[in-house]
Amino acid sequence: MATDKQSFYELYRQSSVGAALTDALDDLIMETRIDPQLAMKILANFDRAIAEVLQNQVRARLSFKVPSPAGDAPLPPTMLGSLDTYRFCDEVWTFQLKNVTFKMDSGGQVVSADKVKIVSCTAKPTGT
Amino acid sequence: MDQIPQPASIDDIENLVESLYQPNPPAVISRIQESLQGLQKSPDGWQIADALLSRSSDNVKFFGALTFVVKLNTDTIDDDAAKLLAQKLINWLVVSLDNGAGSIVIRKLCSALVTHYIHFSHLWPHCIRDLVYCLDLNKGDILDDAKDSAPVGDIFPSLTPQKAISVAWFAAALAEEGEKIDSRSSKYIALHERLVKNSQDVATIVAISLSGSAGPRVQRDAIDALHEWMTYGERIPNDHLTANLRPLLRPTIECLVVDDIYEAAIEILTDSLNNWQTFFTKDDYELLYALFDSDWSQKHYQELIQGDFDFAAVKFGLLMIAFGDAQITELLNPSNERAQRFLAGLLGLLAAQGHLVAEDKIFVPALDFWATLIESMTDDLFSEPDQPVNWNIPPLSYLMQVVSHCWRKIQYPHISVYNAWDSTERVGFSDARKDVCDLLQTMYTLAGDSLISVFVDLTTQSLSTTAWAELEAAAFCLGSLSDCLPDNDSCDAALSKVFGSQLFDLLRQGHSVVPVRTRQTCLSLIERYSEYFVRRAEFLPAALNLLFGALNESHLAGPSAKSIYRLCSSCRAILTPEVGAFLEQYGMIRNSVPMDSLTEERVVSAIASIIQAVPEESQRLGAFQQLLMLIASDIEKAIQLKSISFMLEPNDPTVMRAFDLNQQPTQPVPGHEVALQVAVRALRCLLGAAKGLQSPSDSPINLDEDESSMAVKSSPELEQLQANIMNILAQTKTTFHDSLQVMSDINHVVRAGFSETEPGPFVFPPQMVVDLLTSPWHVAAPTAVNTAQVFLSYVHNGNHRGQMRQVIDQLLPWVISYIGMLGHPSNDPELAQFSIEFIQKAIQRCPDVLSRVQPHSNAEYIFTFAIEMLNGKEPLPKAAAADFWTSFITLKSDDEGTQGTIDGAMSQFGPILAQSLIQNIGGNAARSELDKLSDPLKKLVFQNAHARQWLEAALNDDSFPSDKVSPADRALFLKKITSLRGSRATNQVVKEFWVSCRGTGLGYTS
Repeated sequence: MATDKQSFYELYRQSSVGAALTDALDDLIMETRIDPQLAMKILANFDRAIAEVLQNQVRARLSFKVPSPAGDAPLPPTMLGSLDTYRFCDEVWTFQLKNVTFKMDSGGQVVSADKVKIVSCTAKPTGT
Repeated sequence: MDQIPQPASIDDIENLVESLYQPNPPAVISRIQESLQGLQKSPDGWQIADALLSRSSDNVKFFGALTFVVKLNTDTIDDDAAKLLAQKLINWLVVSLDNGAGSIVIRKLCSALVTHYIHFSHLWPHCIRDLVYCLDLNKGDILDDAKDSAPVGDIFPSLTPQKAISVAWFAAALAEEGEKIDSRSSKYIALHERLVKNSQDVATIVAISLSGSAGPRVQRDAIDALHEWMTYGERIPNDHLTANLRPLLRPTIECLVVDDIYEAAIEILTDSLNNWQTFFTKDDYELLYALFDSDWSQKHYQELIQGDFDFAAVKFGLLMIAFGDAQITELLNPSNERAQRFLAGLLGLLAAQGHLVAEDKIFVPALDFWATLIESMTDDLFSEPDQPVNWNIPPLSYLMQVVSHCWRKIQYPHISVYNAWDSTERVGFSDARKDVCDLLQTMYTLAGDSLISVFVDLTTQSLSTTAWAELEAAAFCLGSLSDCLPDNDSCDAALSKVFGSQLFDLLRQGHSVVPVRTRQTCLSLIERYSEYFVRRAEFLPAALNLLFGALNESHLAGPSAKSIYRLCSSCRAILTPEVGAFLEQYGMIRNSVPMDSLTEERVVSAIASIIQAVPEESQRLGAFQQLLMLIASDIEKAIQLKSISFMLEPNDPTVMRAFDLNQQPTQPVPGHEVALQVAVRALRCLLGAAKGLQSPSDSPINLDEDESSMAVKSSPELEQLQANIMNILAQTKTTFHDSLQVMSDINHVVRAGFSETEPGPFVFPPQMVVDLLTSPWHVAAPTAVNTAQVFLSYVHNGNHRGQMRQVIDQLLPWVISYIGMLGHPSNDPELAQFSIEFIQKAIQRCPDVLSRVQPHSNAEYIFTFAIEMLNGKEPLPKAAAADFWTSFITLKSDDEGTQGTIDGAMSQFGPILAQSLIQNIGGNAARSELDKLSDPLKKLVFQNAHARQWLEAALNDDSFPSDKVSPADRALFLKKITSLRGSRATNQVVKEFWVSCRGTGLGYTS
């Protein structure tokens, strides 16, 4: 559970919304309407806010299945069946999966992908 | 509006500050603030601050202290002046405390002292000791003598409570500000070392304050200060600091039982357990276990689970959860009785009285804890698969109780209760149900098919007792597990208990017997287990009859249509003998049952998916012809209605069918409006049919098949069907040429065939698509051009590759005519983007098309247009143009003539491209565009021998947008990018150069 006292990743600054915010801050600095220190604080707030919003408010779900050759094993062995590569380095997990089927929360179309890379970080960057 | 007169005296400034706190229009307040900020930043700011602190008003004093903060952050002063300033600030603190100034003044003075310390920590490294010493002696100008003073522990107890509180505030602000300062920067290493040294004194004053001798207020502020220091210690780890703070945990835990400071104590403990578990020692955990076993805890716990969700009770629950999170390893140990006893308490949190979210505030956090615990259990079990698993003892035995509590908790309350909730509570309730789904899916990994059996039993029991809320919750949970099931029949026997029960009979009885929500959830259950019906086809007719029957009811039509589609799609091979019956059923209901267009689209899609599976071609095409005729009749009707000039009554069957249920008109409607709605509905149905006819993603693909065999598969009947569909599209396009919606839907129908590899009614011959695309588009030209570029990929990857040149030869002039009409890309950025993307794909597939563009000036115009896009401000067209140039720079052809044309174009536009790229990188582009712009730059440097010369000219051109980089900087940039030879490191060099060009202020983020 995120609290005010927790630190947050900067990785969402690379997202579309983060990049757009950075561009807007750049413009404001160029127009001398804000100084870079304020821009840094705004980005720090963005890091916190987007982490909290993604954790607490985004409710859309996406599930995916990685069928094994046999196609009938329960989930973990199933995942192992097509889990091509995985690693854990500097608190970052990376999984590379093959032949993945995605199913959206809304019950819409099923989407298939030959290769999927999942990069995940622990929800609590420091202190635990 | 009048300007604020410039204050001429301190009295004027005082009045101005006071007026800031008076009710005034925002514009006036803004101008006052502007005027006061000007004073703060002026050279007289120091004297103004000093003078304002001598005034009687707290607002004015606060502004004086704030002015000191501003001056410290903006002005440069030497050490002697800084030392005098520290003494002055402490003096003001002493005076303000003596005069009984308000807390805003004292806090701001503490804040000013902290700001001073951040800048001048070398002048008074032991700030806590020095401050305590000065406050004890009631003066600031003895700061230098503090180093010879008695230890803080000897002086602090003699301070008045007000002074003790101000020391706590200062200590808290010190840690709070210190935490924000980069500990990795060499500039601040000494500051952090001094802060750590002060932690000993902080620990002393907190320990003395926690003893309670100075009263609860001092205790509370001391805990707040400790909280800030623990946050500092967590963010900037230091063994010395941790060792100083750690002994304070025990007295803080003991403070929990003191009512006046319960809130502060529980906040710090919960926060620390969540974020810094290693701070707690074994003894601290022992003390917390003992606390949770105490009567005090039992009282709070009982209040909570009996439905007392006030602040203090919920905080207690959150402390329990935080402690559980910190003790997960112990809680997983079946032999630790005390841990299992505590876990039982956490289990109870899921069963507190009160409705979820609207009343019960602890369920969701408790559920989160249990989800984590179950994940940890799973990890344990899979990491040691040989370990015996005993479901009869805790913690595993608790899991079925978790399931039971969750099932009860997510049951919908009586409709009157639900309707009384506000939207936030309803959304929260729905979200919590989804969280329960997540937990059940996690648990399935551990419990396997037995979990399915649990909910099957709950469903059948609830059915037998007609307990609708319980049935709904059980069906909801059962549905949530459908994705976890393996693709075999291991659970079919259990599921047959549900689908072979009286469930379908009951659901057919209507909402007077079964509530709508329960029926909705149960209908969704059919959709979720559609694969089950493939294996157990005996239940399929009953399920489909139920679903088609539910289309009559507005609340159920949507979920029913969705379920019909999923079921028909999954069971298409089984249902092919019944395709005639389905068509007949659709023919009846489309005129008798009021349906939304989405519902009808799904039904059509479902029937088309069955048609797709009919093995014999003539039967398949015949069935589709029947479906198409029904849709075509709507199109004919729409075209007829378009020409009528009179109004149609709202109860006219055509009007009722045209509009969705929630958009039914109450007044007469013009014929053309009804016509448009009918056309849109028909096109949506046609799109549904096209999607339904798409091959399932798991169907086999014959890799040896070539274009000739594809041609053989086509038949006159199929060609006629394709012509009919295209005729429908063309007619609709002509009749409704001004409707963006119709044009968009037409494009979607055309694109539906692009994903197919087998011939089919919507897999049109390329010439048919070209003819439609090149016919006039009065609106939606960007959509048509976008379809054209997708079409190129389809032709390239599909069975018509041989026709690529012919297709491009027809489509390229059409696209060029659009950009010719456009003039400048900014006139329609979307059309410009899609056009350049099309052209990029076209010249990639057939480079020789460039030499065949007529007139030749058109080819030149394409490149000029792409440069204009690169120079523009619109991000998407700019990115498309960057891609275009990246691809063009690397374009090669085996044909000498074509290669000559490419080289000629590059020679002509290379310098212009280099200039455009350098203008962008030199500051014109936005930061987020730099990576995209680096791509053509890298290719240019790597591929073209003239690149260096072109880039050098661009960098030294008078039009270079920045005067912040010297010629030497530009030369260095050129040297770097050319030596990198197009490698990925170029991107970083480009970013750094861009920052330099824009100004160093933009280096605030990477």
